[in-house]
Amino acid sequence: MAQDEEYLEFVAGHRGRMLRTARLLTSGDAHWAEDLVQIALTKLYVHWRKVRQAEGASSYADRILVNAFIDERRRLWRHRETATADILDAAPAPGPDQADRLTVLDALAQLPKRQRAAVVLRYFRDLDTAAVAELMGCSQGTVKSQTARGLEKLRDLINEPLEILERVR
Amino acid sequence: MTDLKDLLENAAGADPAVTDNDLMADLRRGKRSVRRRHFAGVAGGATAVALVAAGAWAVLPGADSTGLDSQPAGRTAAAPPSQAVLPPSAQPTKAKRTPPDHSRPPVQAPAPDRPVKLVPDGVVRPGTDLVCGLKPEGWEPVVYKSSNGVAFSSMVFESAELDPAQYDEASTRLSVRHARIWNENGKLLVEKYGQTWESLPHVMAGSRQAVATLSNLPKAIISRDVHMRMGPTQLLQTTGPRALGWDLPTMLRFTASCVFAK
Repeated sequence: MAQDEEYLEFVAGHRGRMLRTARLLTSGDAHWAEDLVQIALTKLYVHWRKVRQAEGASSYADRILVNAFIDERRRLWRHRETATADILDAAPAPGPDQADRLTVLDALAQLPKRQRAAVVLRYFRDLDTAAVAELMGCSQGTVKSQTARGLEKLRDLINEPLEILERVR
Repeated sequence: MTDLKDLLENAAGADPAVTDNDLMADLRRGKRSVRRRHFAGVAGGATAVALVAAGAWAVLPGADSTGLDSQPAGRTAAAPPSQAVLPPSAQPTKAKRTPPDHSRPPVQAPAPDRPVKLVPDGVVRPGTDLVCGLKPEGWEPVVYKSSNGVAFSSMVFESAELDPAQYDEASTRLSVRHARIWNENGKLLVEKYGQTWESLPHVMAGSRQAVATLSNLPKAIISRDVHMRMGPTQLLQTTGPRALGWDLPTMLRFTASCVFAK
């Protein structure tokens, strides 16, 4: 029972963040994003005993999430359990922000998966190259090159002035 | 000027509210996966894991036999509280506590083995227009006043057994307050969720419709919110720390006993 309570408290505290990360990875595909989160949390439960420490559980869950995204092949249809998260997920109100949102999501969709993952983990999750390398199972050099290529392509697609995006890390 | 962080934050959308349904569904999937591994003979020791999970499932607080924690708590209509009025001199006082140590990371109060027990109350306390027919046994009611002496339109119960110096106050406290449905550009939106009442999944708190969610307070203290519909734009909101035995059925039963005092 203590294990289940710990797991539920972890999920309650991290599910929202994981879902937002998954939304970016999937370029706004809500169902795919929910699938990824469910895959990650299911595997996390199976291996919960090994990853009980908060830092370990969070990194483990993120690693599964990212790898499930990179490895998953598109299926013609996806079976997913009904969850209320998407019902209560307050979508951004229509307006200038909504237009920006769709532009960014469209741009992310143009990036190869590994470039997309590197950009999202570095600049949305604020992880350093070492942490991203561990999550993606590659070297730091690979993370840097994937990030650089992803940023370059985003600049072209979003059509933002170069000096703006130069401000980021 | 917009930087990439802001663009990604906006693109990621709003932080979704995590409901009991979500949590129970994740737990069920995890347990099914463990059982599948056991039957497939994949992992050594999987049998022990499956047995522990099945036993834990049976006593998980708030979970019924189907594992759904969001079932309506039954339409047992809570009897309107008999409104015994306390004289002004009998104002509730806050139990003496050591001041919380804000220099340490907040610690959530532990979870008991069973839900908190509700006992009759129905007392109208000076300084608040809220009254509840039930109260948690062993918890003390507190009414806070602002510096100008006007009472907040809220009521707080605190666990008398736990010292906030050891635990985060948010995890030792139950609050009852007014909430609103706001008219925003012609849409009636629940202030907490930014969505219409009709678009939110409902449960029953006694005879009234309610919306129940788990919310993540800052610093990862987990609480359970219930918004009960009192009128076209009036809501009564209760917030309870889930870890202290405030499972969903208990929260709904308590919330259903609360009304605005006449």
